[in-house]
Parts: sequence; C-alpha cells; structure tokens
Amino acid sequence: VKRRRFWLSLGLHGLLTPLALLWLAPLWLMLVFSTLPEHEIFRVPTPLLPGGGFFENLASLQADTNFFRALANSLLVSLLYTLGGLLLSALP
Amino acid sequence: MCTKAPFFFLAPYLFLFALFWAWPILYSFYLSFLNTRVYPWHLEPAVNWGRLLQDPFFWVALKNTLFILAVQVPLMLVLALLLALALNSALLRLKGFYRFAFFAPVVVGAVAYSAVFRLLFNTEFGAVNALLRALGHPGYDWLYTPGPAMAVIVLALTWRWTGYNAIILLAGLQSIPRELYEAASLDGAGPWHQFWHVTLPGLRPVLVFALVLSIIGTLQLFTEPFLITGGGPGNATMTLGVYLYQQGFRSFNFGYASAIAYTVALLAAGFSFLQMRLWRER
Repeated sequence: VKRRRFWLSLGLHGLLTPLALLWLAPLWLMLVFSTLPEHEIFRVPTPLLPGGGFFENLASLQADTNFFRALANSLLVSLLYTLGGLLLSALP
Repeated sequence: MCTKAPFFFLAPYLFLFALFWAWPILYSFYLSFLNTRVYPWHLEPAVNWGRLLQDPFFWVALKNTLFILAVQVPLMLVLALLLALALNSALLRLKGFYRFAFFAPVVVGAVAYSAVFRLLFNTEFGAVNALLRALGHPGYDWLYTPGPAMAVIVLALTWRWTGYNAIILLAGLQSIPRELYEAASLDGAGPWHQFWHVTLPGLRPVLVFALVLSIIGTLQLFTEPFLITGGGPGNATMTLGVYLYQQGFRSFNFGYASAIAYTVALLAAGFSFLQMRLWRER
C-alpha cells in the first residue's frame, strides 16, 4: 500500500508540475521581456532568461508616459476606494 | 416614531444607492426606447428593439458569446475541479507553490496579460509558433484567422480564470465533513464511489456558484476580445460586450447600446435562474 501511494504521488506531481510551469510561463516571459530591448523580445527562439535592461526600459516608460504619476494615481484611487468602501459598508 | 429611525440611519446608503445604482439602471431602460441617433432624442421604441432582431452584427456577437459559453466555461470548470481535487490531495507536496502557480494569473491586470498574449501568439516571432515549428508544424496566423483567434480567446480566458475557480472549489472541498468519507469507506466505498456519492453532492452548491459566476462573466465578456484580437479578424471574436462598447462609445448611439445591455442582463438572469433550478437540491 505504501509503495502504491508513492507511485500515485509521483504521477500526480509529474502531471501537475508541467501544467503549473505552463501556467507560470506567460508571467515569467512578462518578467523576461521587461528586461530586454525591443528587438530582443522578437528574437527566435524566444528568450527565456532575463537580460540587464530593466532600468533602461523603466526610464523610457517614464519618459514616454510619466509612468510614476500613473502609478501614484492608481495607488490613490485604490486607497480612497478601499477606505470609502469600508466606511460605507460599515455605516450603522 | 420608532419606525422612522431605521430609515434615517439608512439614508446615506439609500441616497447613494438611488443615485448611482437605481437611477442609471432605470435611465438606461428608458434610453433603450429612445432614438438617440438624431438630436433631440425622442421616444421611438421600435428603433432599437426592432433593430436588435434584424441586426446581423448583433447575432454574430451573440453567436460568438454563446460559443464561448458552451465551450470555454465547461472546459474551464472541469479543469478547475480536477485542479481542486489535486490541490486537496494528501499525496501532493509543495501545495503553496502549485496554488500560487494557478492563482497568479488572477492578480495580473487584464491589460498587461493581454499584451503578453499578443506577443506569445505573434505569427512570426511568437513563442507559440516557435514551439510549433520546432515540433514540425508550420504554425497558425493566430490573431488574423477566425478559428485560431477564437482559440486564443478561449485559451486566455482559461489561463486567467481556471485557478480562480479552482480556489473556490477547493474551499468547497475542504468544507465537506471528513466523517462522510470515513463512513463511506467503512461501508466499503472506493475512491471512485466516494467521488461520485460524497464529493460531487457535497460540492454541488459551490459548483453552481462557480458556474453562475462564469456564465455572467462570459456574457459580459469584453476585455480579452477587445485587447487581444480587437473583436477581429472581421467580427470573428466580437462578443456582446465588444459590440455594446462599439455602439455606445464609438457610435455614441446610447439608445441602441442600452437595448444591447438589457439583452445581456436578461440573458444573464435567465441563464442563472435556469442553472439554479436545474441543479437545485432535490
């Protein structure tokens, strides 16, 4: 019985691990792409390891869109929304 | 005297409810009977509700939405059930990692993951086609052929929402009393019988909840088709949500958009009612 449990457990992990990695793949690639210059993103085969360009990308994002201002806006809205929601829902 | 006090305390809430919930809902119902294509808007009930019945674009959008409802929702819920069973299994180690992996997509903003999916399914440079070519398949023009474009939408939705439903179902699994399993195994029921006669009946209310949420979400589906395929190619992935947006915010035809919105709401209410009747405890 103990032996059977071992093989069942191994099979379950063998099935679930590739699926979990597949689920994480888009998020991992999002991270990798954030560290590469644009021409590297479109390389074939797809780059799988992060490069060193994260801060350059962040700088150009900030220059193009004033990203930190957008981030601050989101933070403010989510803060006010949470506070307002809590307050209204907790009203007697 | 006493009977007035509760309403006084409820007043702030009732005021906000009336202003931001009841009024828009009632007003959009009224709008759906107006001809809003000419100024000044005027009452002309047939112009929107009549058009709805013979508008080919509306029927395409409805057909696409029902297709996703019939294919993606069952696929996702079966997968979510299997995942929940696996995550609940005593045989599984590193549960935290697996739970994180499948739930992580929910935390990512729809706009961000849509951009990544567009890259992954890019025809020439995307990772999916690179993988297919490595396996000896020429790959697909994913975003620009009708069938594959719909497949991308289904895959994206499944990727994003399966973990979410699995966590809901997992909570349901954990709320089934252990004694039932003990009693079942004392009566000689194997794992298969336990699943059909203890797990599934115990999970029924949670399953119906997940099903109804998924149905409502699918009927209102907008973000993924709008951002990943733009409803295209042609109208191949246009859903009711996308068509509603086009009518309301591109053509500024608020009357017709309201009629579409009410159709979606009626469909959602009808489907939900049907599911709750169908799967009710007997």
